[in-house]
Amino acid sequence: MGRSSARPWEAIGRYRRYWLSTFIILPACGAGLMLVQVLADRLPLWLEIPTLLIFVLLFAWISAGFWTAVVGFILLMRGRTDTVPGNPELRLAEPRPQSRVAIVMPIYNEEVERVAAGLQATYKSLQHAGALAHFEFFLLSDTRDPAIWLREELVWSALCQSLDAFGRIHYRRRPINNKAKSGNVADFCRRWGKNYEYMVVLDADSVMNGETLYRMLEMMEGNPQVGIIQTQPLAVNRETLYARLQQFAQHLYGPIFSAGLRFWQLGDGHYIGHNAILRTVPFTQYCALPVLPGRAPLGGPLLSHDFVEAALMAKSGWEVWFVPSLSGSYEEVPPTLIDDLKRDRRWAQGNLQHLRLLAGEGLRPAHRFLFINGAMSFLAAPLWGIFLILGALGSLHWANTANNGSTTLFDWSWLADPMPFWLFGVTIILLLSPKFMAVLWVMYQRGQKEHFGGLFNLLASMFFESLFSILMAPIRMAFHSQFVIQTLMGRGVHWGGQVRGDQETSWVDAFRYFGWYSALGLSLAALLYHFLGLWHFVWLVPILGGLTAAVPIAAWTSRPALGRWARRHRLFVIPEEVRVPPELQALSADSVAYLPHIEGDPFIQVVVDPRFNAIHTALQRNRTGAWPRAANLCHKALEQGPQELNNRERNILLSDRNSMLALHRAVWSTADRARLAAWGLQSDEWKLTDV
Amino acid sequence: MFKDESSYGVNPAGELLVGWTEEATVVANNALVLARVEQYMARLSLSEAQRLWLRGEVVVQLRGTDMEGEALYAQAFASLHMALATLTDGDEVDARLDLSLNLPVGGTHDGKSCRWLQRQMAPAIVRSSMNARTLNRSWGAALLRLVQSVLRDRGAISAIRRVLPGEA
Repeated sequence: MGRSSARPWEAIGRYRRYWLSTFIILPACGAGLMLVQVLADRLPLWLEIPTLLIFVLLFAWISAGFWTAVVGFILLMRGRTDTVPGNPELRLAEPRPQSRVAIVMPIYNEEVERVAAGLQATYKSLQHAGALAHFEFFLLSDTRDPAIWLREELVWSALCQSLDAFGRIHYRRRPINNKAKSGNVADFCRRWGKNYEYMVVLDADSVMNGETLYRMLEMMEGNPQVGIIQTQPLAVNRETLYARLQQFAQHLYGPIFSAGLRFWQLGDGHYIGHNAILRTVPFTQYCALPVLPGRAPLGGPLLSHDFVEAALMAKSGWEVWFVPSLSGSYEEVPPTLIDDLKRDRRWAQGNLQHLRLLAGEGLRPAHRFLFINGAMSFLAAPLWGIFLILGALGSLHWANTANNGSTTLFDWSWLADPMPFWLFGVTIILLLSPKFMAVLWVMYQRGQKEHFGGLFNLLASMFFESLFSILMAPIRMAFHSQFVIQTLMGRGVHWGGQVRGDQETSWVDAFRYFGWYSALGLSLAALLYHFLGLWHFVWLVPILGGLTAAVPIAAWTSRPALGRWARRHRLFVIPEEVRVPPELQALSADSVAYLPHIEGDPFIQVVVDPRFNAIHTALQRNRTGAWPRAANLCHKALEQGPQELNNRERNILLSDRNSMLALHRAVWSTADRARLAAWGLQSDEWKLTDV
Repeated sequence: MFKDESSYGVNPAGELLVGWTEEATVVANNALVLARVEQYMARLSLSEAQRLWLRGEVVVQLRGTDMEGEALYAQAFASLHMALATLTDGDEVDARLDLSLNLPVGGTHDGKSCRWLQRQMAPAIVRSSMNARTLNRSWGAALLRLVQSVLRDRGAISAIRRVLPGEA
């Protein structure tokens, strides 16, 4: 075992985190004290104390991001890599010939061609880097939909044939999806983990450069105390306006935040569940996830596994490093606001579950902080909402008491300022200055601004991105608040496949999901304008404007055409679009055009087509326990037609080799025309009969 | 010149002609079945020689059968699958798999292509256990640990002081 007791970076990390805590706590307390001076004698205690508490909490939350960006900016401008002792980038070792890495790709009802394209791109990149000998691929399917399952099998065999990769690309489908993605990876560890010293976990939309993978292997070999190395995946490849905004923001602002995060974390880093290399033995030994007592959503299996796995790895003495300097790691972002919010719904529940692990024995403080940080990403929304409500109540109270009760409820004209200017100024600095730092960093690098479309386009893109962020902030606040409330009220979320293609949101869907929020924003705007007057109302425009515009924002930002228009006008351009890396070029649709396509119902095809049937049947085994049920289902399929079988019944038949062979032979031996037609067999012999 | 059936006996090629006639009869009587067989074979990437041989095998098996309807179709497809199995000297699924993967039929993996494909799909399993370890999440215990660590740290400092120069 490579666990070491002497970890030189620990003292440095502790020192840095003390400073971070000081930078967060002291200004937050200072700002709180200043607010006390504003609020003292003007609000009753029951209103003042919660307002203050929430303000300090939110201020601290924002300033944590700000200081991370400041540190990242300074580090990048100084141009020095982190030379902390124990840094895995400093100790690379050539992999031993017997070092084997499993690249695992858990998939669940995914678009098969996209998965194949990503896997093929990574495979070819590894081949190009000359490192293929150390790597094997595992497609770990949790797919429930029989149609997608059959496509996966067919595509797997075609991919292996085309790349001559039989024995190097493996495929496994799990009939029971215990514990979702984490259970899928755990199942791999139980079955094959012993054969592979390391595993690289990829998402269904991940692509990685071969040299990067090899460099990660070198780091693991040179640093036997390291359990996980996490890369910073870059968002690429999307065309909707929403996704392009996200991609641009991540490429522009990401580097300074990543550098800052790495500065604080060191060997207590985070793991985001994909685009990372893990040491298999300690992962298998220590990172099985606990099941929380009680029922979902706050109890039961953990929905967000990655942070907990990193915490458990660190708890057992292994280091977890975030290495943002590793380039060539890519992912895709949700194409629309709806899809992004759907993902947030799962994350909200998962991150709130993490709060139940806070007191876990032996967890490192940095990971406890990550749990709080993750939960705060969602709790900040309702807190902001409560803060706004308290602010409104405070103003109302203030107004009434200032005029000794003689003011009517709606007489606000005496108020000079809707909020203290200093508060507004500091908040703006905390929120927006990282964006300017990021632009400065891009301008500082030679030739980098051209990768963002040139200086003018970079600034214009930043302006529009900030505008959209401001407009979308209240929408997110509303939704995140709803997610938190739903989770706390016991309404869980189901595991679902993710949308990976550029599917735009229809107006009907936009109204269905966002109509209530637009209506709320509109009503509040009408109401408050009447009561507050223009001057006070202007301050609320960013919030009310965002809410009111929720429907059109959701619909328009989902348009790929608008995204393409922005790209033509060099807006929201990212470096990977200016100079496309080979592994992303290999993702084009043409690259997988050779893969077989299934016309019609895949279940019918796998029964009827002798080649497809052979491939599928060869991959199944006889499930004697299911034979009585399968026999009935075969009979039903032949008598009533395949359309009468539901997905569950189809899955039973498809899982049994004997049933598939029997059905294949029986269908081809059928004499009845109607039955044959149900299986798509109507043809030459009919012509013969007619003649 | 017309010749009746008895005249075939004096022809040196008579036996072949008898066979041909019988086959022609079988083909004529089972046109629908054979059309289905052809349809099936068209879906496999067979060479022309393989296709003709398989067809011939089916026709031979259909000679003299007194069946109709599904039984006849079943007989034809059973014959076809037997012939396919003969191609690989083993199982018809292996033959179909070879044809699907564009491998020489029966010429690779000792004719056991199904077993080979299964091994390619998933390597041999080497089981290891992965069970969640107990995680004490009690806040009371966490508080106690915090107090203990503070006390321990204080003790540690005093212990260090004892070994400072001049105090040992």
